[in-house]
Amino acid sequence: MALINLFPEKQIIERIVANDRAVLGELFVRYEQMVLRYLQSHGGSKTDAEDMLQEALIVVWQKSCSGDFELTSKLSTYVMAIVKNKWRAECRKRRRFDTEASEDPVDGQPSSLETLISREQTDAVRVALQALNSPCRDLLLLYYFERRPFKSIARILGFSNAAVAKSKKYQCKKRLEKLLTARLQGMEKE
Amino acid sequence: MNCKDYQTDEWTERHLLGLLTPEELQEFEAHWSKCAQCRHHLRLQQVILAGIDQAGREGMKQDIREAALAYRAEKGHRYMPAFLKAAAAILMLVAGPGLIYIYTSKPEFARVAVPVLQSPPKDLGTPHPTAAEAPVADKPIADETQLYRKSDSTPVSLPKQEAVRLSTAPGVKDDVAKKGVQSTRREASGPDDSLDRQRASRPGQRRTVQEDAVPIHATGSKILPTDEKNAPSVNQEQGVAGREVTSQEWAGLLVRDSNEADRSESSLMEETAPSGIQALRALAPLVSTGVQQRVDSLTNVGRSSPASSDSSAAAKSTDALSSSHKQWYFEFEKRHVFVTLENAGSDTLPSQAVLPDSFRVVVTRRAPTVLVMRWQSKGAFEKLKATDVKMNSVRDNFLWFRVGERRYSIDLKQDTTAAMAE
Repeated sequence: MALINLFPEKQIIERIVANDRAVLGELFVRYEQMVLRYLQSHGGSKTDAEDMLQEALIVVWQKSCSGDFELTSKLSTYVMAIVKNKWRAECRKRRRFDTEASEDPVDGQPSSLETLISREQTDAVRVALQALNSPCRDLLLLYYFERRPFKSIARILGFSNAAVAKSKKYQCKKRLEKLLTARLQGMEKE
Repeated sequence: MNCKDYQTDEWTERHLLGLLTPEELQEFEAHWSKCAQCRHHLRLQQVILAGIDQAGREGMKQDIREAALAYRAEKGHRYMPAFLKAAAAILMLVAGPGLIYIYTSKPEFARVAVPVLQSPPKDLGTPHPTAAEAPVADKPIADETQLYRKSDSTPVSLPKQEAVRLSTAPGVKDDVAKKGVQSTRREASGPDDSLDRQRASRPGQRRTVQEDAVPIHATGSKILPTDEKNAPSVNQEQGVAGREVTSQEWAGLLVRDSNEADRSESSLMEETAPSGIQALRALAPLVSTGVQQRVDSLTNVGRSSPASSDSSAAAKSTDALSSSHKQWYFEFEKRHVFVTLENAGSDTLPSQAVLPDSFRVVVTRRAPTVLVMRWQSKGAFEKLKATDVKMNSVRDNFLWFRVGERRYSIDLKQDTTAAMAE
């Protein structure tokens, strides 16, 4: 039992499900050297390593919160697999941007202007989200970003049951849509 | 379904989250491809979900950075896995007591007991004489020889078997051997200036046994019998070989193999060497012989042999040494090894019940070196200063020790020494 406790990966998953954000810092410190070595040997920098590890931890967090996640390997192996996939995608993305800078945009892919517009809209959502009150904002983040079930959201936010959390989420989303619509209309007028 | 139904049931959101079944997805795609309002709603939902995802992602990254900083501040800069901590703890548990044991017992290893002398050591002035050294005028060699010959002694006649052994000694002619033995007895009772005369007349000669034996006595170790009457007990057992010791050999006590060129020098040495040295030299032929002879050469020097023909000499030899001391002498691999057993604090000789407090082993090589063994409990000995002699233990009243690759045992009760071939 003592040896099992030396590698408390199950406890880490349980802490993630319990919305203990301190475990993210622990995982980051634990795996940062491993990811840094990999990234440095594959053309990345320290900033890239930190970014990739953060992205991987976010994936771990989202998967763990979904409720049907089962870790079949070591957590470090799982994290490194995510890091490798994300780094390959990032390398493809960078190569694509380098190609776009010298050539015309390929049909079917968003141009730089479209990307810029989409980024403006996303920023508008962030601003609208900040305008919401704290429970609404947290509720939307827990549901849409962390992909938590309503039962878990109700437990975290102190709702009586999952149905309450579901109706609250609907109300908050409608409020966000109003704020966002108003903001996007103001941006179109400008 | 119309557009309101799709929006009320959050088909758009479920479509973006991938929660629609294949049938629902096919139905919804067929609808919004024709409905502009639903496309607009789908576009708005995409922006909302993308914005929430980006906001959540940035917020979580910020949380990760803050949590990492807090974790580093709490646990240290670098992460150490739990198994490394366990390995470090085990290492400390093993190495810590070991280091404590080594450093606490180190002074015991370095402690060397000072040999206790029965009489104050004499200042010989020339502790390590070299070859071809001229005799010192103010300190005649005669004074040195008095260490071995305090008084005149009666010449001792050799038994017949001694004469036979000498006659068959390798490299020694019968007449030389016989003459040497007899002349030794004669010179032992003669004046000491004979040695000076020989030295002065032969300044370039190699040293004799007598000269090289001086440093051993200068150390104060009680190796040789202080009385001349101790010598015959050994001589009668082992015989005397007329051989010379060169300065290139250890401590002047190692006797070379005789050859024709050395015979004249040997005969001269026989005339000048004191009887104590003759007693040691009696063991010399056994050096170059086989193992069995070497075993035979293990002789108790310090205690008189019961086989001695001179009972008074044997008694005097026993009295000359303290009753709390035992001494052994043997040769091994051209080394002269003296084992002195001291039983400090007790008047009786060590027995099975009373084990000795310490052992002192004197090994002569180029210069006398001392190995002191301190008695510890449970039959073990602590080696205080190491030389080639390695003491093992005392078991069943036997002192076991090792010289080189050969193991020896000394019966503490019977005063006999035996060698065991490995």
